[in-house]
Amino acid sequence: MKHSKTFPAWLLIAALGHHLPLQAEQLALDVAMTKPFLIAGEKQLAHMRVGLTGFAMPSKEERPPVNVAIVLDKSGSMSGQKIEHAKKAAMQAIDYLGNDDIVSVIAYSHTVSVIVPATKVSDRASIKQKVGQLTAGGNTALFAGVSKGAAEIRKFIDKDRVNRVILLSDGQANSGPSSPKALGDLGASLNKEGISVTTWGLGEGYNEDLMVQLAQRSDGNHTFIESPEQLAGIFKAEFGDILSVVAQEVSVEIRCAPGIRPVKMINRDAEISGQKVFSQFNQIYSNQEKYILLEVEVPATKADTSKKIADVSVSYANMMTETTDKLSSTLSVKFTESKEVVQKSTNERAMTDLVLQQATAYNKQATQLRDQGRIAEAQKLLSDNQTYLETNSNTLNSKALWFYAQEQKADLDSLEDDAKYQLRRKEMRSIQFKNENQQTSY
Amino acid sequence: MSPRLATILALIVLVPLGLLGWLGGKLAKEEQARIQDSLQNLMHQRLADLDQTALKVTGDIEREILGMAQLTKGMPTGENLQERLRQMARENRFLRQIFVRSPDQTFLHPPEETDRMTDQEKAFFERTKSVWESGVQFYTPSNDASQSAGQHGWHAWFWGERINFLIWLQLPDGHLLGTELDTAALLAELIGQLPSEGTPDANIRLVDASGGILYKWGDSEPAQPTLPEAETMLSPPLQMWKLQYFAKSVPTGSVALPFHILASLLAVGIALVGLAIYFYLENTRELRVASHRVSFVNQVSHELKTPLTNIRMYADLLEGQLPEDLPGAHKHLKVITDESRRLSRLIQNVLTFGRSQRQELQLHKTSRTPDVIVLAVLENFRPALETRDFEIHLDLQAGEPMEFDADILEQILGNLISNVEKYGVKGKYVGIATKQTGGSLEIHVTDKGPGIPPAHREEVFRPFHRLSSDLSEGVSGTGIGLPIARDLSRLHGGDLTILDAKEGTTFLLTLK
Repeated sequence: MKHSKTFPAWLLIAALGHHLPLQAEQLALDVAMTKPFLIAGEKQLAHMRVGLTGFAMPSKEERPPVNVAIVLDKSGSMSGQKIEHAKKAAMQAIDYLGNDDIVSVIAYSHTVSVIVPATKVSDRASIKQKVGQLTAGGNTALFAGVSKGAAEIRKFIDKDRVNRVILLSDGQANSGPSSPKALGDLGASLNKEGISVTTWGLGEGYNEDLMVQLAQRSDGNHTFIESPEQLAGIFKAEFGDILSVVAQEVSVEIRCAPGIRPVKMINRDAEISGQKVFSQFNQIYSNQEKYILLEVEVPATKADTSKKIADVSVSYANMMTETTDKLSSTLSVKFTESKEVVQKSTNERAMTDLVLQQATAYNKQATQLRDQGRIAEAQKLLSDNQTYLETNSNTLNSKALWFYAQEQKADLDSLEDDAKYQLRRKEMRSIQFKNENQQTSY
Repeated sequence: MSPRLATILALIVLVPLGLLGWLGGKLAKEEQARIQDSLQNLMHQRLADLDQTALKVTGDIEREILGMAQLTKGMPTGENLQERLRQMARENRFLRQIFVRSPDQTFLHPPEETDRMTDQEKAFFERTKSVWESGVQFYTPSNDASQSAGQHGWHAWFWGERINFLIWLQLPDGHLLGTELDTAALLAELIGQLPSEGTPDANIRLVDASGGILYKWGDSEPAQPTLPEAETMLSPPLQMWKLQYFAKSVPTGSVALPFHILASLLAVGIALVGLAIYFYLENTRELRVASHRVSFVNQVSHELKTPLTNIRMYADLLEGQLPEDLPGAHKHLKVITDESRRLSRLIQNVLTFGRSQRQELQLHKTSRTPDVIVLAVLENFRPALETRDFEIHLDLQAGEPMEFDADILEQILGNLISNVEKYGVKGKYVGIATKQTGGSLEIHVTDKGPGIPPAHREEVFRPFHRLSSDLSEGVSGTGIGLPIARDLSRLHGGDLTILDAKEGTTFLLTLK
């Protein structure tokens, strides 16, 4: 180094600047009942909401390094506009990454090509050049594409990195395992390694059930992309998420108090055995809240008493401090004979989320009915759902519920016509996924 | 070109060429088979290497899981055990479920009570129902419990149209610790470890039991669904999966002659055709030379005929004019006459032979008395025969005139008597017997010379053929006298044969 004389001063400034914002930030745990007061004297179902909010990222420079595999569909159906936009957007996305981040690019058709093996993002030009040479043609070996993407991630897998596969597909998986279940299982196993798969369905040809399963069980994002022009924006939003992960390996354990029976987790997979409920998130993004809603059965209890519902404990890897942090909380409920008190005390925020999740569940049911050809039943269900959402949007004063009510209307309009429904179905599945997983960034 | 010559020439070219072609084809076929063989070997080697990759994947998974199983040693029982096992299954990507089965076939984990089971564990029992109902023991039972401890292995079963795997370990206390693998994770790991590129001329596939493609790589895609060039089962525990090798272009079926063999065949063919042409030219040149010679001899003979006739004519004239008292002169003139007669016979023979070669012989029959002709011919020879002390014996019975060609009879007889004069010197005898029977004429000419062995009797009638050297030694001759005599007799509807005789030779001439 030629600058040896100025070095100590430079180091001092850098060190000072680095240490200034250092403070032990924690996730915010918010545990609440949708109704803090329950009617006394009767056995009933109650709902508890457990929310986790990511803290603000201290500074862009301190974000945890990421390890991303971009898995692009280069099958024949992608040729033309689609592949060009995908290439352009992927090349742009390289610029969002820093020199310490790791990226790999995989393209699949009937076979899989590792276009850019996992590498640090230091030579952006050569990475982009390789992406730029992609051409489309062939079948869709989706399972193999994701497997190879995961294999590239695994080369540098590290708990202190954000590990993510981004999968873009516009077609049916038709080479290798191609059932939603097989891809879902793959997602679940990747989830155990801390790898999430974000799935993007482009156009009208992809299998939304498969893409949703894969994203859901690996805790990635999912969206339906109507036109390739949107790709650039979507890449940006996804990288916004990836670059703002503040916690990983988030496990939530709920121990129900004696007498309280856990019935079901409304919006997420969970393991329920006896009094214990276990659920997990692969990551929490900065300034975003993820929540779960648990339905419990509460025994008949005397008025004017209080009852403990559950202990909630959360454990997670703090990406800022690289430590495993724990949070815990206890939740109780009070009993009253006054219905008015019950109504008035309602936690509006928790209640809104519960209505949204239940409406989402109804919407899923409607999808199933329509898939079975039971159009009339689906119409009835969607129409009821719309009313349910509209009513609650008024009482709870929620715009989100009102917006979702409008979606029910759009869904309803698509049911009669097969082609229209097939396209709308992608949107429905995409919104269902976003609701269940609180995917807010896009 | 005569058809025979053409056939011979064609054979000279085609036989070696055919033979070479056949050998070359055989060689090429063998070469092809050898290449195919080594290609097959290569492909199988490639697949065997890939099988090793798969074996390493399953081996690593097995080690990881068995290693993890060691952690369960000394674990608390009951609620806490279940907690720990669930935790382990949650954290390992290859595991769907861990189970512990006691020797009495009840489950310590997952709990058998429905209300303590998670939904996932309920699903596990649903999936594995057929496994437990099959009563499979996993380990090999033994009287000594410590014998079976540590036994481990894989168990595969079908559920939900998919293959599923268990890895089990027999614990020292008689419990069976098992794990259900996540097939998707196993396959993903396998795909991760298998190559994605680098096999330019081939397409390699990993297929499941029903032939469905699990993973494939390589550039070339067979245009139509074909059978793989090579196929191998994966080693256990994945033996229900197969690796298939599809080559882009493997020479199949039709055996094309390789270029070098074709080239050498062509070279040999050209050489043989050249040789055949050379033979043909040589052959025709010789034929031409021979025919030139024949026509030259014919021409010369023809040119000799006129002066010879003049010599004979003037010798005859001179004999009449010569006074009687000059015996020496008469004797000399006789020699001239005899020798010129001999010469004209010779010329006649040559000309007749030439005509017979050209198939120009013709008959000119007139009514004459055979014996008169015989005597006239004999008269010509008499001086020469008497000079050599020949005894002449005549038995002439053909005094009736009949239709025949006198010139031909004269020539045949002349040749026969000349033959006796040459070869019958030892016997010093010539017998001539004539006979007429119903329109045909028979003449026997007998000598008491050394005779002709029966085996050689036909040979004397072949042109330019002369019998053994001791017989013909010191005797001049053209070798065409007897052949001409036979040809002429046959032309005249008869034959010339040699009869069996105690001594010497008897020729039988028949004319019809």
